[in-house]
Amino acid sequence: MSVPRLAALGALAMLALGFVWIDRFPALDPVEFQVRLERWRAMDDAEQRSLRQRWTAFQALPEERRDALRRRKATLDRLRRRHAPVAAAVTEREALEVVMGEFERQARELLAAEADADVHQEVKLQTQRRVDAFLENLARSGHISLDERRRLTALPFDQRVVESLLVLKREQLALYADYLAANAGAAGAPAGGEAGGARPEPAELVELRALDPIEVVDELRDVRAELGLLGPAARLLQLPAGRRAQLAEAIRSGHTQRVVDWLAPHLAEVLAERGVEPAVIDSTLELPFADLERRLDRLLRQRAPAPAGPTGVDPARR
Amino acid sequence: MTESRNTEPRLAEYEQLRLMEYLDGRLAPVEAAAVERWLAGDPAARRLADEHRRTWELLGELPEELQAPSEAGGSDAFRHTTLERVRRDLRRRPAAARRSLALLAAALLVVVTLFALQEEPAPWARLSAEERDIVQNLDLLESLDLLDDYGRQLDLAVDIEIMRAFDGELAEGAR
Repeated sequence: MSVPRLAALGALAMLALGFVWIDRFPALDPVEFQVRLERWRAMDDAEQRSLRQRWTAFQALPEERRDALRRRKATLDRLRRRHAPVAAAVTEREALEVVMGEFERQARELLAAEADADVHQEVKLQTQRRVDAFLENLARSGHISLDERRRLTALPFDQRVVESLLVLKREQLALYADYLAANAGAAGAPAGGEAGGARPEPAELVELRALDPIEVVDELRDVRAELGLLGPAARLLQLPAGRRAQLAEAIRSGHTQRVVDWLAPHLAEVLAERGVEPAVIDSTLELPFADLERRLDRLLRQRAPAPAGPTGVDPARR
Repeated sequence: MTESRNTEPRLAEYEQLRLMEYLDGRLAPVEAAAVERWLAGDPAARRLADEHRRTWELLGELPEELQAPSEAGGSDAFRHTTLERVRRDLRRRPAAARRSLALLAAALLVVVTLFALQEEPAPWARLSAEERDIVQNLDLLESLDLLDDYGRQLDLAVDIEIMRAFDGELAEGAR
């Protein structure tokens, strides 16, 4: 048999095996699927019939409406997971109203919105300004090209948000990967695999890649709350416990300017140790939080630490 | 055509074609006789024919009794036997390919069967495609009423989450 025929047969076989493999695993995590399957099997015929009808009706909806329902569901799950449970005596709907009311109150505080202001409009306006600032910051720091920035800015608002979230996810994962790499290096782990091969991706990154952008931001907000910020600088900050607790609260509630103000003296010291010019340090510490992280990531990757000596910083001074 | 001592015999392209057609048995008897007369009188052409015969010997087992047409006592016998050898060789090749294909298919079947039998059947294997979709989306379907009743608040929550995702892109004073 000729080599091309063998290769074609091999490819067909792999394709067939692939279909078998794909068919074996549902899109959902198998353990979670099993839990739901048991619930389904425990239902009587009437309940199952009702769900079949709901599924048929759901599939008949326009795609935008189905997407909106899925987003609501994802947000609902996050709210239930992250907010303190209310008293057991209330119904699920009552508990939900309490959680969402608190969520809206925090948003109003963040926006400094008047009590009777239309929060929906304020949020849309703020989102647009933040997304545009995000794209401009990325272009200025070289993370995206000017052409890409122009393309994204020209998109209709909803599409711009969707694509910006994807860019944000990519950027956040890269920042976290830098932090993990710096941590591994500091712990004495080898820089690469055997014979200089690529290091396998950490399990934390693999798990995060599978999540949607909002989930990734949520998870990394928790990581920032522990570390103060992401990137190589996180490992270099040695903050007292009380300050860390304040930072965590500020990060979780979105008061990022406070985070910058509190971190500034420590960051200035870290940068000075690495020979960064005072003017660059000053301009870096004036940046908004997200941009500050980007700049620090670039500066610390470019600058090796100064050799240890009498000028080394005494940790007790931090 | 002048031939060089150190190169193989060279014929004009037309002559080579004629020789090949003769060796393939595709010439009419009158034309074949003309080629045989030519081979008898042209050492270069005869040398080339010998080269082709040696090549066919490598492809199949050409018995010793098969020799140049003049020694064998007839070009017909040489041509017939050579072509038969070539035909038998071509018939063997597809059969060999079919055997290889069958062996490979059998091996793949064994691998896939062992793979499929290795583990217990998956729990979703007995569900219809619709049931599988319903089970995957069970939480969503059970929450549809809630998602509709609290739609406005949840949409606001979705928007707030998106807004918060871009925390820190603007200095707080610039908001």
